[in-house]
Amino acid sequence: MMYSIPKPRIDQSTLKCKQQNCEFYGNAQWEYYCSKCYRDKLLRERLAQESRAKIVHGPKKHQTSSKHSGEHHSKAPSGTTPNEDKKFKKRNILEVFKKTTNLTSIENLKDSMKQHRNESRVVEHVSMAHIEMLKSLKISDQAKRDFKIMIKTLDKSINRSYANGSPIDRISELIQNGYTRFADFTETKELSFSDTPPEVKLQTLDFFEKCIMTHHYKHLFSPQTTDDEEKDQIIQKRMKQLNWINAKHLVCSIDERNEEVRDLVYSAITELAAMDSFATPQEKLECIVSSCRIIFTLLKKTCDGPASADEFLPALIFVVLKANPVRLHSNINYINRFSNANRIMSGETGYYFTNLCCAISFIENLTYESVQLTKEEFDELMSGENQIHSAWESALLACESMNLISSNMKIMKDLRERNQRVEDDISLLGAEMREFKDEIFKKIASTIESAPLIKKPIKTPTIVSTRLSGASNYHIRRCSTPSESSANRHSQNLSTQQKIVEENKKDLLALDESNFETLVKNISEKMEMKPSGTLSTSNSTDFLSISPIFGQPYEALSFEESLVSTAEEDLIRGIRNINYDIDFSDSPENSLAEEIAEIRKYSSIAKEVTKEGENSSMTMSKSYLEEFDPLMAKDNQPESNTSKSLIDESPNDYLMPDPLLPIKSDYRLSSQTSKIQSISCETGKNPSHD
Amino acid sequence: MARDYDHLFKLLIIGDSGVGKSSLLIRFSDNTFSGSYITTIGVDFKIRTVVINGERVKLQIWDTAGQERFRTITNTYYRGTHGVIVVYDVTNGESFANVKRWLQEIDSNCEVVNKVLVGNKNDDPQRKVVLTEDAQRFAEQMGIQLFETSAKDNINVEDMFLSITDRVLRHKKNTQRQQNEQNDDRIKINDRSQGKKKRKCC
Repeated sequence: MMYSIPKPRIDQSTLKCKQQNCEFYGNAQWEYYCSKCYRDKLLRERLAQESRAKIVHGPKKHQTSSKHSGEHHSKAPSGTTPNEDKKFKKRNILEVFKKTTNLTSIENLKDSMKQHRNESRVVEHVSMAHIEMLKSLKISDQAKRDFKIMIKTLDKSINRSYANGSPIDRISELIQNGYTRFADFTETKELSFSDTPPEVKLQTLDFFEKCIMTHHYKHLFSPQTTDDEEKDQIIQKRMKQLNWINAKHLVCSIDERNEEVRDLVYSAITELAAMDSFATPQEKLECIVSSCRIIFTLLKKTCDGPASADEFLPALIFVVLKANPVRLHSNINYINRFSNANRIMSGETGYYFTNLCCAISFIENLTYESVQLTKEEFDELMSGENQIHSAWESALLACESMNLISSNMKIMKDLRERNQRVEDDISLLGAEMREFKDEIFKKIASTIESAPLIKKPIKTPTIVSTRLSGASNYHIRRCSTPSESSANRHSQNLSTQQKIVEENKKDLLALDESNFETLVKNISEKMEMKPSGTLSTSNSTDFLSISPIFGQPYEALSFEESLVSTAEEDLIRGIRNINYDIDFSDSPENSLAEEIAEIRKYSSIAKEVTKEGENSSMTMSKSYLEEFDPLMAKDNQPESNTSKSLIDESPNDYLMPDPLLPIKSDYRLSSQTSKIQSISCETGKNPSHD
Repeated sequence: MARDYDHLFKLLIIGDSGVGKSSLLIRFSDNTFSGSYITTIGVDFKIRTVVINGERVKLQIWDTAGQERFRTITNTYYRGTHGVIVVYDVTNGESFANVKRWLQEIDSNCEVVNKVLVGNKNDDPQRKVVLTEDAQRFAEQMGIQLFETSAKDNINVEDMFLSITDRVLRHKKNTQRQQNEQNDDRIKINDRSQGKKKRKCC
C-alpha cells in the first residue's frame, strides 16, 4: 500500500521539525521546520505585517511547490489537520509521478518512491535529479523499468546487509557484484538493452553506480565499523607536520614565484579538496582527474619537454601535501570499495587514482632521506623547532596579507641576491680596471725604459738640416703632432706623445752631425741671400697643422716672395706633403684672420732668422723654440720688433698673444720643450742674451 | 560488437629516472597517428590501439616515476597490469645494474606477468656503455626478451611494443583456454544467477 512506509533508519531527532512537539521532519529549505510549521510561521509573519489582510493560503497551490517534502507528513498523522494533509499528500505524490515518469507504470514508481522515502533529505533531492536523469537517458521504457528493478534489488540487499551489520568488505563485494551483474545485463542481447548504443550503455552503467552510491553514501562512507576516521586524522596530522615541505625538498619543478604556476597549483589544490564534497565515487574521481590534469598543464609550463611521471609524482605529492584534503583516507577507501573496479584499474582515471595512492603512501612513509635532509634537520622541522615559511602555507591560511608579505619577502630575497650579484660584478670590474691601469702604466714604463730619453747636446743646425733634407719633414710633422694634438685634443694619450717625442729624438740623434754642418752652412748661405727662406726655421706647430687648407696660404706667401731657394722648395714640398690628419676645419678658431695672423707671424720669424743668419750663427735658438709659447714670444718681442716692422704693417698683431691660440696647448708644449732639452742652443745666438 | 577493441591491456613502463621511459611512450603513442581511435590523454598516460592477427588490442601504457625514493611506493601501479616494460639506458651502466632490482620488484608485486627488457638511447655507438652481448646474456638468464631501442631516432620502438603486446595476448589466450577446459565453474555461476532471478520473481 502506498502509506505503509517503513520507518527511516536515520537518526530522527536531528531531522525533526524545529517546532517543538512536532512529529514531522524539518528541512533546510524551510529553515528546519516541517512544511506545515513553516507555512504557519510564514502565515503568522505575513499576518503580522498586514494586519488587515487575511490571506488564506491555497493549500493546494503551496503543496504543489513543495511536493516532495510533503512525504514526510504522510508518515505519521499529526498536527491540526492530519486528514487534510494526507489527502494533499496523496495528490502530490500522484502529481510527481505524472510529471516525472509518466511513461512508466505507476506501480514501479510507487516502489521507487517508497525507496526514496527511506533516504535522507539531501538524497531525496538527488533522487529527484536522478529521475530527471533517467528520463533523459535514451533507453527504452522497458530498459528503464529493468534499470529500476535492478537498482531496487541491489538497494534492498545493501540495506539488508548493513542492517545485519556485515563488514564493509562484504558490502563492497555485494555492490561490485551488482555493478557486474548490471553490466552483464546490459550486454545481454535478447534483453531490453540490446538496441542501446554502447555509449548510452556506459552512461546507464555510470548512472546505476551513481544512484546506488548516492542512496547509500551516508552509511557506506567512512563507516563506523572501519578505522577510516582514525586514519584520516593520522594522515591529516602528518600532513600538518609536514607543511614545511616545499618544492625543493621534493625535487619537483614547481616555481613558487611564478604567478601563473601558483594559480595553477591553487586550482589543483581546490579540485583535490573538493573531492570530499561529492557523494559518488565517480565524482570524487573526477575531482582527482581534473586536479591531476591541472598539474600536467603546470608541468608543461615549467619543463621544456613533455612532463613524465618522474616529474608528475613529486608535483602531485606537493599538491596533496599543500591541499591536505579532509577525510582523505575515507575518500580513498570509499572509492576503492565502491567505485566500478574497471574505472580504478585502468584508464586515465585509474592512472591518476593510482598516482594519488602512491602520493599518499609516500607521505605516510616519508623519511628524512626522501626529502634529502639529514636526520637532525628533519627532526627539527618535524618537531617545529625550526620553521620554514613558505608562500604556500600562508596563502592556504586564507590570509591575504600574509600571503602578500611572504611573497614580497621572496621577491625581496630575490632582489637582494641580484643586488649582491651586481655588486660583485662591480667590484670585479673595478679590480679589472685597476689591473688594466697598472698594466698600461707598466707598459708605458717599459716603453720608456726600452727607449729612454737620452739627453744629448745637439747643435741647432742639425734640426734645420734635418728638415731641409726632405726626409726629415716627416719628423717635423711628427714632432709637431704632439704639440698640436695636445693643443687641441686634451684627451690625447700622454704615452703616444712621449713615444713620438722619443722617436723624433732618436731620429734626430741618428743624424750624422757632420753632414749637417755642411748642410747647415749651405742653408745659411742661401738664407743670407733669401731671407724668406728662413721660414724653414719656424717649426711652429700651428703653422704646420693649423688646418689642411693652410698649405695654400703658405704657398701663396712663398710665391709672393717669389724667391724660392732649393732648400726652401724642399721644405715647402715637405710641408705640402704633410698629412694633416687632424681636421679643425669646423672649429671656430679656423678663421681666415687667424691664418693671416699666423702667416704674418711666421714671416716675422723668418726675418728674425735672417738676422741671425747674418750673424752667421745658423742655430736654432732656444727662443725660437720657445716662441711657440706666446708668453715667450712676448719676451722675444723687442728683438724681432725691428725686423717685423719692416714687413708687417701692423706689428702689434704679433705683439698681442693670439687670443685664438689655445693657451693650454702652448703651455704643454713649453713643458715639453723643457723636457726636450736636447734641442739646445749651444751656438745659437740667444736674443735674450744679446 | 560496439566496442572499438577486442582486448584491453595495461602495460607498465618502469626503469630508472631519466632512461627515457616517457620518450618511448610518446614515440609509440604519438608518432603513428594512423587511426581516429588513437586518443592522447594526459601527457604520460597513453593509449594506442594496435592490430595483432586481426584483433584490435587497446593498450594503456602507464608511465611510472623511476626515482629511488619512490621505489617503495610504486607497487600500487602493478595492480591489474598485463605486461611490464623494463627500461634501462645503454649509455648509463648504473641504470642497467638496477634492472635486476626492478625485476625483483615486479616479481614481488605480481605473480605472472609478461616482461620485456629495453635498452633505450641506442643511437650513439660512441656513448654506449652497456654492451649488447652483456645485456643479451642477462636477458637470457632472466628469460626475457631484449630490445635495444632509440626513442630519439625511432629505432625498434614499434617492434618492442608490438612484441610485448603479442606476448600478453598469447598469455591471455592460453589462460582462457585453460579456463575453458575446466567448464564446471562457469556452469555453476550461471546456475547461481538463474536461481537468484527466480527468487526475485517470487
